Amino acid sequence: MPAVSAEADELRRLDPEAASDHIDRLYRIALAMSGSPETAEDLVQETYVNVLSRPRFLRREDDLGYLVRALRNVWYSHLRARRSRPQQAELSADQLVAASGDPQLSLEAGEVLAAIAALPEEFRDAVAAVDVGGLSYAEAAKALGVAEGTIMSRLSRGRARVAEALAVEETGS
Amino acid sequence: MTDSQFQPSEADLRDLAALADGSLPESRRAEIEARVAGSAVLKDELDRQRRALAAVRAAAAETRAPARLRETVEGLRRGEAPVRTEAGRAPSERPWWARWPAVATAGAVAVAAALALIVLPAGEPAVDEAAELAARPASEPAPPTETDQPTLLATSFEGLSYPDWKREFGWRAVGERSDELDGRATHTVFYENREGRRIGYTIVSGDALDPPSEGEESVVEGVELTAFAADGASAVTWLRDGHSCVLAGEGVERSTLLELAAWKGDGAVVF
Repeated sequence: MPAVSAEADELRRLDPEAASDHIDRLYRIALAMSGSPETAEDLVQETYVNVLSRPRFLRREDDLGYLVRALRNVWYSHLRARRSRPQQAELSADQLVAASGDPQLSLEAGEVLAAIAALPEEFRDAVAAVDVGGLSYAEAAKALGVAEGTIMSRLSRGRARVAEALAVEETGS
Repeated sequence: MTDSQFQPSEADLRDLAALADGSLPESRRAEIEARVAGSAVLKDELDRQRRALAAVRAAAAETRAPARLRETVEGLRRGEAPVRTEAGRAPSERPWWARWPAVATAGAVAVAAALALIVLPAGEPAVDEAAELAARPASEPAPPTETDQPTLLATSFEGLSYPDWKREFGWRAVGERSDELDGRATHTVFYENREGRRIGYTIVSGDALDPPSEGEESVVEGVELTAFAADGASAVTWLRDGHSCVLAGEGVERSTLLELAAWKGDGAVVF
């Protein structure tokens, strides 16, 4: 049986400086989940407000995985609140790029992010965490509360759907 | 079965995901590559995954957080108040590392107290308002168990640690959130049992709130508690170190709440 090191089992305090280093990855994940630059910005800000408001203690967990879990909770709270308000239409790729205000973001990137945001929830979260956010299967499984094998099969299906959506975009049908 | 009728299994999908992104262990690569080479369906599936993955990684590489978001997060790190967002209400509290030095002198405390008297509304939150926080969603992940004390969670508010009821009662922590109630900061930890029942344990900052006038008082394990009903939920309130605590949940027996609230966790839960 592999030994679990005492160090790995110890609680450690989340370092606020280190946490803020993950802002790009969190924003990408939030954008892929929501398909809206404005919402992504709100979600990431709210996540940091929550996480930095009090000391946070982690055990057997890396900072990014913890932050992604926190982001996902904020995203679901946002979805619950949004259900009671008029629904916003999903942004098209060019609308998404325009709303981002980022001159570096290409239309192709906008198409990909819009395709991920349009996936069913379980595929979208897996693709956003692993392929967009760069989490390992194990980190994503922990962040999303499912088994590693489930992450892998959801990734397979999510990627296939993204490929199909992009192929449709290309053919213009 | 012809190859056109073949449907990849769950195991195939998992292997293809790992083969496509390069995380398949070297020891299995030759086996899976041979299997893919022998099936047009698997080869098509792998090609689709690789195309999608390349596009997603390229899109991710050119996506950066906006400058104003960076500035806001930097400000949060320095202890500045966040701007209000559409996604949720920003708490009024400054971050903990910026807040602690502010209470270093008695003078600062006195000034803060005087300011609080001016800024806070005259009314104070009612206990049943605090009970309603139990119905809100968690905004943060569940805290882990404290390293050296299995009866406590590694989260606290107003210097009071929350109990870990998983081993003793089967209620596991599932998340937490912070709120402000009529000018009072609150913190709630949510727990769930095996039947999926959910309860919220809220600690309210500041002085004790008045217990509800129609509550039912009882003493359990030496702890004085008041049970009451709040918007269809059962609830109990009691004091820990002078702060009001409220435990509430729908479809949970009042006796269960009383037992949980009064539990001392081998003396680790301070009252």
